[in-house]
Amino acid sequence: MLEPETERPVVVRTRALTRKFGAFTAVDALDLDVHEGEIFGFLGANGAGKTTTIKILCGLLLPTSGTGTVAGFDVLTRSEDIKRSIGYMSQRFSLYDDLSVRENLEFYAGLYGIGSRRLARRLDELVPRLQLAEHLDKLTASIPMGWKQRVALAAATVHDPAIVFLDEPTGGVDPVSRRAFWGLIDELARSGKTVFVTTHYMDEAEYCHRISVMNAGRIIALGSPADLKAQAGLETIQELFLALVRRDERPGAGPQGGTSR
Amino acid sequence: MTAPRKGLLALVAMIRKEFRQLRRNPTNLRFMLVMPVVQVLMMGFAMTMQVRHVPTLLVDLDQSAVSRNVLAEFRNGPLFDIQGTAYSLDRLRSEFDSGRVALAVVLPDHFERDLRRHRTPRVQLVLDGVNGNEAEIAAGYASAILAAAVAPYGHPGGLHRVTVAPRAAFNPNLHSRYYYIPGMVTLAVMFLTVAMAAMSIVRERERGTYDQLMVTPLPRSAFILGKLIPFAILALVAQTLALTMAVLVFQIPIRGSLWLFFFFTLIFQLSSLGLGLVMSAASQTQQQAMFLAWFFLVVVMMLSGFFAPIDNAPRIIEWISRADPMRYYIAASREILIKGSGLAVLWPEAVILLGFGVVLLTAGTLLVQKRSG
Amino acid sequence: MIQRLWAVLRKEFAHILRDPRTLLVVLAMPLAQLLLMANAVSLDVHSTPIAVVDLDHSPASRAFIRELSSSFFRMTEAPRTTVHLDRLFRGGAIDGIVVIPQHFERDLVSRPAVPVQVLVDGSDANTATLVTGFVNAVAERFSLRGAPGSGPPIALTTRLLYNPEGNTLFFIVPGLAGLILTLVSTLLTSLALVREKESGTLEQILVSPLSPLEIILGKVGPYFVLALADGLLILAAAVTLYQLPIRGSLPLLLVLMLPFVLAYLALGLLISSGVATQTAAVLVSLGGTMLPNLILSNLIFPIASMPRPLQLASLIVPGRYFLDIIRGVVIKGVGISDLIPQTVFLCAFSAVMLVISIKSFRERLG
Repeated sequence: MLEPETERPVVVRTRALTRKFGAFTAVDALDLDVHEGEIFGFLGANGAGKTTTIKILCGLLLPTSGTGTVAGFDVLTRSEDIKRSIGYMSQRFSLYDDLSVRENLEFYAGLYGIGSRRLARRLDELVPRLQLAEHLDKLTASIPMGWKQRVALAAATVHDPAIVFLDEPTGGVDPVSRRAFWGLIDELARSGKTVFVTTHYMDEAEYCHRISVMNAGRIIALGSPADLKAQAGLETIQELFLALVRRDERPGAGPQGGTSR
Repeated sequence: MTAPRKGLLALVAMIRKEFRQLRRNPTNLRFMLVMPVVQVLMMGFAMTMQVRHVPTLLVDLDQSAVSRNVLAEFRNGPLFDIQGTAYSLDRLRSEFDSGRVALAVVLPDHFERDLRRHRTPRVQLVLDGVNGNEAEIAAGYASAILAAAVAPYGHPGGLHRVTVAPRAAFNPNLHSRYYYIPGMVTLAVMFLTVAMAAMSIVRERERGTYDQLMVTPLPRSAFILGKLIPFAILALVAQTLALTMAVLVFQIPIRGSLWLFFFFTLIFQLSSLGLGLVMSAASQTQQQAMFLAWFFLVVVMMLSGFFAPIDNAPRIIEWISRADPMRYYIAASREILIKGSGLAVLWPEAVILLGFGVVLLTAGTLLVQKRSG
Repeated sequence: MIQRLWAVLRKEFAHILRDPRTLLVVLAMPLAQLLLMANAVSLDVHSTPIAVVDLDHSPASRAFIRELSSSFFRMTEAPRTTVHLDRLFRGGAIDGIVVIPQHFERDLVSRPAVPVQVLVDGSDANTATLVTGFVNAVAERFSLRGAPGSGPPIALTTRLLYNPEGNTLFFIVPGLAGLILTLVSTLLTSLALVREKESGTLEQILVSPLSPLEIILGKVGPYFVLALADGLLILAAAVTLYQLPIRGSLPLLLVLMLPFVLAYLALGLLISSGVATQTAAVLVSLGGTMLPNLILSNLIFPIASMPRPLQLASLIVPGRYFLDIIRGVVIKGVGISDLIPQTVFLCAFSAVMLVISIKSFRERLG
């Protein structure tokens, strides 16, 4: 399967990446290549191993076995360098409610060692793009969910990272805001950033360049949304996802093409 | 930009954020600054072991001129508040039961006659013994009044009395507040640093912001320092405020060097902040952090010699108390403020406090890291 | 109604039981405080070490020392001179020094007053006050026996009702129980409610068909039980470990605990509806309830000796009345007839607090 993106450099690579918690295997021998500028969708039911994978890639968890590199840095040994190269936004929009939007951004910028002059330049870029001007000096607790989501994205990208990990970034947000948010993700990718995004809204998967479907710690399908649907002869990602998971859970059934086993 | 400079910037961002959050909750901030002051002032006025205004019942079974004169002596001065005079013992017990009376002076039948004939009348002091110390002291006062009042009726040559000439080293007027105020101030400060720092760390964990911070290059040490420094500063401000108020209101003569006192406060704070870190690592919720902090605070306070001298405690408790950093701090602060001692005398306390601080901070940092790793 | 209430109660109990750390602290705290109070911070003068310097060595001075040792159990031998006596205080081995002067016996006959000197360490003013007071009482007792050779003018007997030995634990333990009751009721309640507010689960409960009263009863009920258990625990421990007598009726005590605990639960409720964060709840609870209860309740320091404004302020501190009740029932063994004013105040106070807190809970959240 050759996607146009494959010619671009690989920025996230894992080989046989495995993480066990006691007897439970959360991530099972994962092989993955994500390319620069790609929107890579990571699909799966709750507990499929998505969040564990992201935590390993962000340097929060160590793998039990296997290897992985993010932005060229080994997840086993260079987690501090990885942290400087990535942005991370979780479904909890980890903002300080009792600080204003600007103060939140200033804080996260400070953590990345961004001085005030560079921050001012960065805000000049981010604020119009995310249309935050109106809310900039409001208390974060007082702004609506959809705006909090944008602020969280701004905070996660304030240091202009090459790779952005978005862990269910649209949870609890209305459909209009969700759609607008995907527009922002698209812009990020267009500007050369790699976006690694998990979601369980199947309609959102359509916006991804490539998706992988995870079940029980393994990837059971990988490819562009159009290709995967065509291969299975199905209309929507929703149907595709349910079919894939059902097949995977039937004993003896082999995983579908593009899988990594 | 170099890595250390970036680390420093991250630390500054962290500290700035903490201060902003503190400022955003003015109620909390006000409470944290005002509470120690109120506490110190209230305690300064309230804490005394001196016994005054004992509610007293005079029981005159004799009803003679002499018995009236003797009992009248109890009406002078602030020691006894006379609730009334009774002429029988009937209702005596119920007066004590209801708490209206804590002392009854009972002059017997034929008091005057026996006294004049040198027949040694039996006078009784009945006291509410629930507070044993207060009762004994009140009995002492009452005896003195009785002894003086009956002296003219004694043997020729008068009554020969043993009087007590008290002399207190260092604090001649025996104002309890002198003794309590350094401890009070510390207690207020310690509670602030331990409980509030611990709760604020746990809060980050509860709200998920901690995970977010951990994917940034913010070093864990900068996270911990950034948490602790604002609380240390706040505590120092609160301490200075409370101490200044106490000094002004109670006119405490400060004999030693204030700078030395602040130095000891600073090194003591290392221990309390370390303790706060340990609490935060041991708790999942703010409620747990709060109750753990409270629990340890009570133990630490009781073992510190703040309320009563620890040296009188059983050997084993005295030994345990040596692991209590507050004990050394209380001892040192009293030496400095009341006795005027200098570092030449107090260097062992300084060394011990520094040692505790280093150990507790290291342990706390490791535990916080382990917990999140 | 009962069923719905039970659902809330059960959930709240589950919270408490699921969090063994808090539970442990809440239950262990009274015991630790009791043990420490009994052993470490004992205000017991009987165990205070004092030294006696006898410069007279006469039968009279020895009689005086005998009288002293009936008050102080721990007497230490001291040097025979008065030089460098201050040094004895260093290291804190001794809290007081009594110096009996030369010619003590002779002067007792020939002079109207013979001074005995007491040296105390003034930097520990409480102990110093106590020691001076006790030595004074001893001296007065001694004086009243009369000078050698002549009989005493009066025979004075002193009777300590309720606590003949003057055991300070009798005084401290009931107070401690009261303090723990306040801590558990106010702090735990306000924290539990604010936590639900912070996490948004309180709204979930508020939209359910439960009435505010049911919610309050359900949320507050378990802490009520916990507070009572704590209070009884400390009493039970003091009875078994330190032979604290319970002279009055335990059921009466339990009944009278009700309004007291209710008042503080209501206060916790009030605090929780007024603050947004758990830290604020802690600060307000401590400043608003613990502090006055610690200082203005006769817990350790006598209100009667305080300045007038503090005495007036103490009139609205429920702890003050409750300590009268608990000391009255436990140590004095009195019945309700002697505790009517206190009971009336507590009932009125808790009723007012309940009304205010339920009202504000409704306004702010309901």
